[in-house]
Amino acid sequence: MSSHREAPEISKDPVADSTDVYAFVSPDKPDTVTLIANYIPLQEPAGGPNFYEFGDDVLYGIHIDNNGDGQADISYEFRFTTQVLDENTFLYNTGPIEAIDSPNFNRRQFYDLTVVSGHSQRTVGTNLACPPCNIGPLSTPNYNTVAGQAIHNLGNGITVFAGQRAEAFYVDLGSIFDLADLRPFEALHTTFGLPVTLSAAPGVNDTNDLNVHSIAIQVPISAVTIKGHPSIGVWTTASRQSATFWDEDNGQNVSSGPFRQVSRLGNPLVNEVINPMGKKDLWNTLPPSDDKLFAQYVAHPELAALLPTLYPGVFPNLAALVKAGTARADLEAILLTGIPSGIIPGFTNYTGPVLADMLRLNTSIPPTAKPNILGLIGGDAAGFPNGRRVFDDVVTVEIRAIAGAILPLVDKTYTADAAAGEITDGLTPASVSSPTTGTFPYLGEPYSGYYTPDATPPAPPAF
Amino acid sequence: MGEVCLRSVYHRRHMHHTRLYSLTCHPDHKKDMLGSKYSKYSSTYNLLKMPGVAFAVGDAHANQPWKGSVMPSQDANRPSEQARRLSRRSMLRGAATAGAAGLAVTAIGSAASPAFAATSQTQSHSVPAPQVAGPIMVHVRDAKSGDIEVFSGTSKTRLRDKDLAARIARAIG
Repeated sequence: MSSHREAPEISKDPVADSTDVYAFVSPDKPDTVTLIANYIPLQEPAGGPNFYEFGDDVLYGIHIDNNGDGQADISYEFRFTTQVLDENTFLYNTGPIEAIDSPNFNRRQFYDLTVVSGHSQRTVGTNLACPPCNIGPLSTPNYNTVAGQAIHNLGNGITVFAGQRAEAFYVDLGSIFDLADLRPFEALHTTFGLPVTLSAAPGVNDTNDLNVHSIAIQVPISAVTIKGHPSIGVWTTASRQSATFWDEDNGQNVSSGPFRQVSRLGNPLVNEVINPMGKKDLWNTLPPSDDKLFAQYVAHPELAALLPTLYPGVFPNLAALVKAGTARADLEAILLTGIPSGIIPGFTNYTGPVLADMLRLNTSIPPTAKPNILGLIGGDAAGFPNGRRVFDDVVTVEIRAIAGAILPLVDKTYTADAAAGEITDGLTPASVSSPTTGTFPYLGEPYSGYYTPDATPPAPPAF
Repeated sequence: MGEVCLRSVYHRRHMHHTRLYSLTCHPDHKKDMLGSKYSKYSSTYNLLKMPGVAFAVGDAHANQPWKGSVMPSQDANRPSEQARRLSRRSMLRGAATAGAAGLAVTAIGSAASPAFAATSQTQSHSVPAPQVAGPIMVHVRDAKSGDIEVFSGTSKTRLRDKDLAARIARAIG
């Protein structure tokens, strides 16, 4: 997955597990950027009575590097507090929640937002309400209305939302982690001689009908860039206090000490399929500025070596490239430095020579009227890897990039295999039942516990 | 336990200046000054002599990289040097009370229990208790070398105090 359960340690701590990061020039407010960080992967919508919530003991952060050093120049930090109105009931809600301040909303969360820049920090929002989880037609009858009340305008062009949303990331997990047996290309897979289906089949979106918890913030472009540097690097983190013990008297964990980073995410799939298992936990604790430690895994990705083996004869040029030990300058540019000018006519999101895994967004490129889900490789400079929009097909883009589809742009002597421009897990945004929207926070209405997975909900009203 | 406290108070009242000096002395000299008769109580005395211990340890390790650090975003919460010293004292105090109560050394909460309330009361006459919100946790990384981490609020302090580590180890032994 993008970064769901991507490392051994964080897979045991879903509340702090960052799953996806999005950064894009807001299509409906092009003088702003929208940054979205998702947490708590693979939420089964009916997961009561203790529905999903942010961690009161987790420090969530969305970071921006605007000078290319791989370190945060601006951080938006979120701290949550849970409030229970009535401890003497097992109910998440004691009746219909028809407004965000409904007394029936028994277990609710609020958060503070602090903007950190250099040594200064400024709290720009306090006690900001989160919406409830989408439980069902009796508990959350007008979900979009209530969720809309959780969009907070904080002044100075800052808009923020934190709460449950539908998972927008689509991926055929079942095929990818079954030894990259991509269903549309299964007829070409070696299959190790095992009796599996050998005909091409459409992909299966394993994250469909599942929810996540999203932190979304929209800020003026002018607030996150410096003059002459329109490209920014974006990543998210989650941190926990370094000492925790189980307080048996109160039946809960107690934490103390400085916050230490336990989760990080910039570009999708980097810690998932680029970094090796033995380095993933370490990577999660470090800032992007330390990513030279992991550059070898980008330069020589394991998956690039696997593809010619798993698909015999399909990637001969990639096989030769791997055999020659050629470092992948194309992947380094996409993932670690940004793409310098002169490679793709009229485009750059280069932030400098520092090797740092960040989602790089050139904020001077306006949103596209007719977006292509393949982003830059589809001719749409407003999409991944120039930032990432909620509907971009990052799985296909990255598989194709690893397969060598983009390498000819930086190595004129290399000819990409024909399959490199075709390989995919076979999904599109149409594979997502709750579609993304055109307005903040852009992610779709979370799936209802009552209606998911078997029943069909009525068409929701506009958000 | 009562005997320990009485002897400790005795040490505190009558050996104050000697003890301050001893903190800068070779450990063998320190032992000589305290005398073998009382050596087994030296760590208890150490804990009761919070200001001396705290300053000595803090100064000795002022430039050590293992000293407590916090995330940049927590700068506003970073305690001043004075606060850190106070914090160290409070942490040592927490460790002492926890040790007396026989709690595990890897995690010690701040909630008082009757078992060590008496010890706390005795100490309160000698060292005013700083107000520290939330739990104080002590992690003895290496009892032999006295490598100790103390967590409070959003800060961590790393100490090297063989006496304290030994006392905690004895408390659980």
